Amino acid sequence: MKPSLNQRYAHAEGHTVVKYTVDGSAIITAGSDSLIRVFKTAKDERDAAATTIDKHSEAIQSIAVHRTSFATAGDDGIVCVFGNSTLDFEKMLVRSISAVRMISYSPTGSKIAVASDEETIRMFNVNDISIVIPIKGHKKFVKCVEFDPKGDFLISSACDGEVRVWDLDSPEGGVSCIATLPSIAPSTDQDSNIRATVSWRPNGAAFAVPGKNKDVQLIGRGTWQPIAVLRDGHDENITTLDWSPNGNYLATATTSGQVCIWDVSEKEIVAKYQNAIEVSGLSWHPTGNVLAFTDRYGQMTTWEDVVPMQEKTLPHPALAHATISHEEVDELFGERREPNGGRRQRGIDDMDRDDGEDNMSDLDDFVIDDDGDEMGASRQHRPTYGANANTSVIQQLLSAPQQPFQSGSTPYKHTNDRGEPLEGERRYLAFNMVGVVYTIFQGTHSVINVEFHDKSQNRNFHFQDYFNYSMAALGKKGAVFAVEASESVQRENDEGEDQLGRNPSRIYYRALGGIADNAEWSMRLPDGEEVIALAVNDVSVIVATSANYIRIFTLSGLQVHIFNLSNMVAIAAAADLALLVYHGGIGVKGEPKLECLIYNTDKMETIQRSVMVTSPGATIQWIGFSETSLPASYDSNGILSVLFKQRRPDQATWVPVFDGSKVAQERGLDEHYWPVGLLRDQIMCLVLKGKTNQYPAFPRPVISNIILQMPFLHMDTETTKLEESYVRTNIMSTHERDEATATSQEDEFHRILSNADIEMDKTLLRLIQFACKAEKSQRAIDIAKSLHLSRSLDAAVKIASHHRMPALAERFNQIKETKFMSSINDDLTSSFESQSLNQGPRIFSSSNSSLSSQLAFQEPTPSLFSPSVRNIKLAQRKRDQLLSQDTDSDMDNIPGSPARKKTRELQASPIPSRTLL
Amino acid sequence: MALPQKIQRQFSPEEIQFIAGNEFISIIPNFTLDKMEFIQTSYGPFMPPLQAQVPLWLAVALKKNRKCSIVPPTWFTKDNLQALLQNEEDHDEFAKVPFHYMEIAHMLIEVAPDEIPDIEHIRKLLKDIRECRQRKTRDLLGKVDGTRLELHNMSRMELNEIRPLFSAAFNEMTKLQFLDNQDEVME
Repeated sequence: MKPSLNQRYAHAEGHTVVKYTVDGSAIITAGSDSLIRVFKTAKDERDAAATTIDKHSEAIQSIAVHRTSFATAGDDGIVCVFGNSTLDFEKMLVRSISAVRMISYSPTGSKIAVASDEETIRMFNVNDISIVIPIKGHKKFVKCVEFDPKGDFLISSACDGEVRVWDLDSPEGGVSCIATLPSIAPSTDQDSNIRATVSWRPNGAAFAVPGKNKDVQLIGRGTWQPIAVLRDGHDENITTLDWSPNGNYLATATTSGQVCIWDVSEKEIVAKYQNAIEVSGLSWHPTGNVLAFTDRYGQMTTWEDVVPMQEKTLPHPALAHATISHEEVDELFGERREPNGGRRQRGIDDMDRDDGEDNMSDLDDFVIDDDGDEMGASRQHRPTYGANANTSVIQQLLSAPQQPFQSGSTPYKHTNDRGEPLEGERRYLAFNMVGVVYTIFQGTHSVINVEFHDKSQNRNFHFQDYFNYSMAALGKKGAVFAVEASESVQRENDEGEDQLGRNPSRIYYRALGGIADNAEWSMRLPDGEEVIALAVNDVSVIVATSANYIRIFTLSGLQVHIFNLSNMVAIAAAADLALLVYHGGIGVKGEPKLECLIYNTDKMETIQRSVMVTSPGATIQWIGFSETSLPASYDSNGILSVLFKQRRPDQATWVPVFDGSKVAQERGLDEHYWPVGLLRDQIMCLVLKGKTNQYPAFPRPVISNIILQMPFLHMDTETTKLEESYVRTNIMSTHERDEATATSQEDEFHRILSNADIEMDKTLLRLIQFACKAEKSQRAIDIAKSLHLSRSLDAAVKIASHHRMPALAERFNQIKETKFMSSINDDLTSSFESQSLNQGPRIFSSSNSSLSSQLAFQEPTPSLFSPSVRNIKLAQRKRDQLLSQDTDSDMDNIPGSPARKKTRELQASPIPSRTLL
Repeated sequence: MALPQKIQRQFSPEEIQFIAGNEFISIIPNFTLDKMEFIQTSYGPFMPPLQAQVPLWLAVALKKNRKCSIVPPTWFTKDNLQALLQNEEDHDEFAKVPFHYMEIAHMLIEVAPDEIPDIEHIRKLLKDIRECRQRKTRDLLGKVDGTRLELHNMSRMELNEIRPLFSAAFNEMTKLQFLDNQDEVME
């Protein structure tokens, strides 16, 4: 975009400075022609001639402004004070023998600090000029001074590049130097155009100083150490700089005439302008998005819409509500004490940054002002915690309460300053194992597209969406969409009926497959209630609302249940289960604590209540169910956890089964994973390259599958790999058995489950083999106790005798006796079934099959880590053969081992054949 | 054989492409099917969104019927081809490439241009790689000495290309050497 500039000649050629008055009604410029000009900024007066004040006799170097007055100073060594409204000369404050380089008002306006061509800074009382405090310490001429906006400190820079911080109210009384930053700024001479401007961020948390390498150093308050550097932006040395009124931006000017606007939290340039000649003065409009600058031609330029808020969705440079979030402040300043320092609200009358005491108290009772500006994965409002004193303390303690989100959704990439997307922008609303829902913003409406992975079962469809649905969930039987309430801004939907008031929050359900008469329904929520999160499973639609309700509908739109649950974060659903994640309070260290609820939406009963644990400092990125209805969550550190034993009362624990960051590290690639779904042994995810790439883009990326691996220790050894594989298979198999029992489908899945037992026993036998080789008999006994089938124990006995460990073989026989002989089951039934389930604790049952997914027991080849496709194919084929033999022999299984069984075990276990035959 | 002399000595590119059709590749089907049973083996099951490993010929057939999307192999990306080209340019020997890289690349570009990111760039890179390797092949011709010929890391298409010329040249050289040796014996 072409910058909108307004240039006028103000002064003769030479060093020219500029300053806005505190209320922004006028621009004061002063130049080498010893004149002061005051330009009005109001629209109708803009083109009028400037008021000229002629009080100085030589070039003017500096202007300082305060609420009622402004002061100027220059080479003639005098500091003049003028009234703001009348522009009348009030008094001559100082007459010094050397040229004055910089003056600065204290926040209360009672003092003025003067830097002249001497080593001493002098501080004058404006009302009684006989009171002068000399501040000595610099070894070279002082170039710049500025008062801290809170009034506690004074910073100054000198010709040798030294920057000093002075405590104005030191314990010893008087002014003392508390920090010296030697040669941080480039050294210059006193006449140089490089002003070595030091400037406080308006909130007083840091100050900026031009660095030696054409960069800007930000020095933190208190530590007085550099906390951030703005680099790689300038081609030449910086002449001067100025903070935007709310401290979000920093404007810098260079000797080559470049003007750069830095977004300080991102440390990047958001706007740039190349002036014809060196820029010598900069000043932000105190309330608007306007920057004024003056150059050595004596030209004064006002640059409107400096910060391209529209194109890059940046916050306003002056208004307080659109500022940086706590995390950014914390990150930038390492300060916990005033987490909302950057977001306190400032009215117009509170706008003068010089009001030190007021600002101090402002910091303490900051206003909670989250209007959902953060473009997270969801566009919902964050749950409000109230705004009274107590909760604000809690709020302060909370490091960052997690925003509600929809699993598998992404934000719009490009939005304007109101958070509205640009036309043609698209985002995913849902991305799961069934398909993808995405929306394309078209200005007045959106187009929602639903695409399925399996096009043979469902046809892709799309429809025009006049409500701009912002959330969606896609299940096997239907898709559900929802939108928060919104102000209806000239949007004539609903035949104009909503033109005046608000568009209520809405839910819209659309069944997949055939077009039955009840295939779709929609609901409106009452005023003040909005959808926060939603999910759909095989029997119901689950909606969490801002009224702290969980509303449950059947797929036909019947309202079947409603219950209270507050501070919802996300919902996932599968079969007849729902996983509800909500804030359960604050942890010991002030971190937000999440809890989860597994709820049966068919029987309306709570199956499990558990604390949700993420890795330290992480937030939850994705929740969902595996294809075998195992609840899972993925956090921002890349840890995938599953809720083991979800159906057993008080037994559920979260078990980490995958470490994404470790996998990426092992692969040596800068990538992370964006989960889509979970199989028994693999995670289905999108691979995103690069650290900054948070969300998948369009066109739709390919879904990859990666083998799960629990974070066991010493994963490089063969035995640990086997141990990990056994434990993981056992977890999945236990879960599947529970699910089969809960849904009364044991018979249906018996074969699959006993195959899993055989697989696990194979792994265990290999472990026994390793243990025997290493002569670790106790370990072998431990492993043997876990064997599921009695004939596996027979094999274990053979292994032991092969390794000439008769004592061990005897122990194995004993284990077999205690484990299987007493049982009425023959070895066709696994020990697990006989022991844990029949006498085990109660299991919450479901009437809907939770294992019916087509993908539930598939074993696809992993797309990553495949050494060679052909090897896998061969291995798979071999395993299939083995399995078929296994199951065949299961049928005619008689204890007493027919010859056929021997050949099977020969293949199943790595025992040398002669021991068996 | 009844085939003309010229055809007997080498494969045609189409034939090689046919042979390359047996290479495996990942696809994401958009239909559900248990297993495709063939005489020798079976492929599948096809369970979207899971990937399935199928031979290239099947992938191409499915893609043409819009029944799947093909996942390009890992080497077939802009970055990896760029690295391959760099490697090829830096060293005098042939770099290691998939044996059927030309055929696979050709088929993928032909049948699934929509699934390959940066396809124009990839096309250019493939051409560069091919030219670089052809230059090396020409250099190699100078080294034919009648005793032995080392052709490491050549792909099938390239071997096919040089087969008539190189084998003829090699035979001639061997004959000459034989005569040479005989001369020496005579003397």
